[in-house]
Amino acid sequence: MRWQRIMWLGLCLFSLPLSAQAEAMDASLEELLATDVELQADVGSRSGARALLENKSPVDVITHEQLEASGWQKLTDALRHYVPGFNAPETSVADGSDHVRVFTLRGMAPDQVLVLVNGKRLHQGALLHVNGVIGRGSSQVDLDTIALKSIERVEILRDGAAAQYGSDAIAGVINIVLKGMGESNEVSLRSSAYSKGDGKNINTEILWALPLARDGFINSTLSIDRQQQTWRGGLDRRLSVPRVDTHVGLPAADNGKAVIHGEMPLANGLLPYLTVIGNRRDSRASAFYRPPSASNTMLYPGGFLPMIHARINDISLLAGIRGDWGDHAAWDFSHTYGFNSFAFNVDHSMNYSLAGSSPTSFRNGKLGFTQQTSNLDIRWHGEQWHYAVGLEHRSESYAITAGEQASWVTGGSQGFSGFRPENAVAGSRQVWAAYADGDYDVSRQLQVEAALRGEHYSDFGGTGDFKLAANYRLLPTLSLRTGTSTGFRAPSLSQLYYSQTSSFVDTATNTLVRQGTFRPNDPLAIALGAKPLKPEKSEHLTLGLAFQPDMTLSMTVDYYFTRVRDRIMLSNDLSGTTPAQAAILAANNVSQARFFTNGLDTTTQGVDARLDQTLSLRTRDDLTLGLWFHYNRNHVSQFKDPNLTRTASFDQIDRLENGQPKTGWRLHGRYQWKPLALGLSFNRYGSYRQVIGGQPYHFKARWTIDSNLDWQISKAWLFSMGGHNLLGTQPNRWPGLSGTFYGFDGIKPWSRYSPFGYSGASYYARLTARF
Amino acid sequence: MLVNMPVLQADEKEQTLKLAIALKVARFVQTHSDNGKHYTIAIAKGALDRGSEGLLKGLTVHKLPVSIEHIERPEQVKDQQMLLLPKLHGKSLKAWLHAATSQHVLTISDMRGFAEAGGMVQLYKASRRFRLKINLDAVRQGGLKIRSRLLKIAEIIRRGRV
Repeated sequence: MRWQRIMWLGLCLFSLPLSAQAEAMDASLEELLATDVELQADVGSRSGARALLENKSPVDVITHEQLEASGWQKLTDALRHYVPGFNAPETSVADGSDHVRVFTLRGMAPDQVLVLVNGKRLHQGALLHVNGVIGRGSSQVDLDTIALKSIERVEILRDGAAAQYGSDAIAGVINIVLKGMGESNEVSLRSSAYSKGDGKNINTEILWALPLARDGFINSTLSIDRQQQTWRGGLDRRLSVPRVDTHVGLPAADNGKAVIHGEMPLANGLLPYLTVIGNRRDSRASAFYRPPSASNTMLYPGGFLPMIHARINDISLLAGIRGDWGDHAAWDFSHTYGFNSFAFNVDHSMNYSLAGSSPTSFRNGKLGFTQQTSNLDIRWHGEQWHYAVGLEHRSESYAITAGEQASWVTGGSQGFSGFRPENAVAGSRQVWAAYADGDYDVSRQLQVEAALRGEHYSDFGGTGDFKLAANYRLLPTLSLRTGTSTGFRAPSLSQLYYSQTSSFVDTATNTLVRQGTFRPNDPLAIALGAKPLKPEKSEHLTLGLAFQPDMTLSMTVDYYFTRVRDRIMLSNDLSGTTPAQAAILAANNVSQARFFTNGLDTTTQGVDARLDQTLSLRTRDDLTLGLWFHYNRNHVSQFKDPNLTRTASFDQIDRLENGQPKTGWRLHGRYQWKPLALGLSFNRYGSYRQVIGGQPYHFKARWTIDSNLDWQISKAWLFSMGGHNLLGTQPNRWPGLSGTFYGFDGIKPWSRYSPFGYSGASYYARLTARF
Repeated sequence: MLVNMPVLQADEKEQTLKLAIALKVARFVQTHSDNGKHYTIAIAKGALDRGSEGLLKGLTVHKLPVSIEHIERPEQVKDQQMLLLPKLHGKSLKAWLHAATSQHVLTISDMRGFAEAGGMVQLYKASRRFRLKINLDAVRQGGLKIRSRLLKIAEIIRRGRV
């Protein structure tokens, strides 16, 4: 009966009028201490945590219990499991993009999502996605650098919030809240594999919670995992005896993650805090197989498979101190150092121009990004109002280090050509920001919020943005929420400074000719029409309803509209289609060039809806149900640069409009019959399409099923097992496309845009000890 | 039609839960300063917002009806059985705790580090649930007795003296 009493108590405390709450005063102490406090989110408002009915913008909160119950080991996978409109395809044979998992919200770009850790900006990665993958042309935060066991909850704000948090917060904000005081020590061992016997993964995670004086703590998390490749490629018909020779699937990776998060309250009330997040990843994935030819048989008589070996280092170091001024004001000063480097190496390869003297392993160069952010926040609050003001200084730098000569000379190393000395660069900028945020409870029913933020970038000047939002309680259990705001995304330093060029001997002219990606300020790009990059500007509108009759049932429906002006994209591959263009290219000995440009205006609109319910069926039984729906429509509304057109860049434009599922459904259930809990998820990924050779190919919507079983053996031991994509659903092969590389009968029979990958069913088992 | 009903915010709901826990804790603590008519809870300024104490009306502790007193200074701690304290530091906290201890008044707060600083019962939140931390030395110093059932479900510390 105790379980039902706790449910009843939750119902009283979180739904009914005061008389019922007074009745809750008669509950036993044990029941009160077993009652969950209502989920609240810090993100989206500086006035303190808000619950579902109080939010002015749609916010999802994913708890650490949910992250664990999902059975996934990486944060990106777990969020794909829980967040409607969160897309994270698995790509392969796409150079660096194989090693850093792309993610998007609402079908927008990966760099249009701001990621925070405990409310502080997390740095982006150094890698720029330049292949034809979802998110092409953007650098993103690497979510998989953070050990899952260190996370208390993840808050997803699905709204523009640049007026509160600055650049990048266009599609939404992800706030990762780390575990705090009162945690238990934990050790878990997880093993997983795909149904085809490959893709084995062994993971060990340890959380050590050390209590300090005055309720301080240091939580240290260490996660180590080894991932083997999956092989899902098709036959290589270039060979006399066709066989699978190219790695198409998950990369092999050795991954080490560490998170240290601590707070040490001082006797005078000040609260110093420190967070260190570190990740080292050695990841290996292949390029296309090179069949034997006159160019390579001197080293590889049977042909060879070049392996791109990425060494990724990531560190984030946050230190700060918080304090109070009297009863109504608080301040917070912090400094964050973030660094990400991505070193390209190619093994089992050769440089054809060096023939038999070519090395077989290459150091192809390195990308590096550093961000340092200092913040001062001051907040005041009264009975009905909250104000916050703040200052921020950010320093960013980006560098490309050239690879060894053998990796780039003439054609460069097969699989991935190294960065040339002319590509090497070091760029930086300074950013200053000031912001103010006010929240006012006009009445018990109506709360309004206004935010203003101004930023100055040393490279392109200033921006100013605002946000107005309101929450109106139509009924005690029903609230209307709406907001409008402006936002921006500064061009990333990688978009400003990245270049990668390769050269080859043009036999017609017997001269060395270059091709590739040029910086927007390169004289060649300027001659072709490139202009200095300016920020993307956005406008947002959301309107939604939240209904929560009691703690066991909640429903939300939100409409959203976002217009992005001057979206930054790569231009067409310019190869001399006009006489003037041809003359410029010829004068510079360049055969083909592309560069970043503020080329488009886009609109994104859609609906997010979710229903969550917990039913108490019998004594000790709980059934949790969730039905989530997402719809988005991305549309290019205007072309603003003649070097970026729908016809010449059809694949790029179509990827933006149709490359990601427009709809997503998820039906999730979890039945808890202590000590057992059984979870089952039905996931529907909408259709999408990819362009090859100027022709769009459609990929059908698909259902996948995930399931997990948890067995609480004792208070200390938990055993979990389950599977993802249990039916082994795979995307349909290229419909009607036959080809050596891409095609239903080719080396890559699947689209790399597939939102659930193409590796099929996987199973896992995990043993967790808490002490 | 829009209905004008009392609307509880999440922090108010949380406060209600804290108040219910505090009241339940009181039922496990035997005090010496019963005035025989009421169980008086003193609420120091800032410890509770927006009249949540209204929830205590009609309730009893040790068969005595609960009464509320709002106080602002340590000198006002007198003849009460429980004292709810807000976030305090340094000398101010010591003064409040000294006054409560000398008057055999049970002190409860959700202030971080409260039990370690000499408070008797501290509420804190971990993983969405409240937990209790009891400073047994402070309880004994205040001349109070706690039933073993409460000690079994709380974290006990034995340090810090007023």
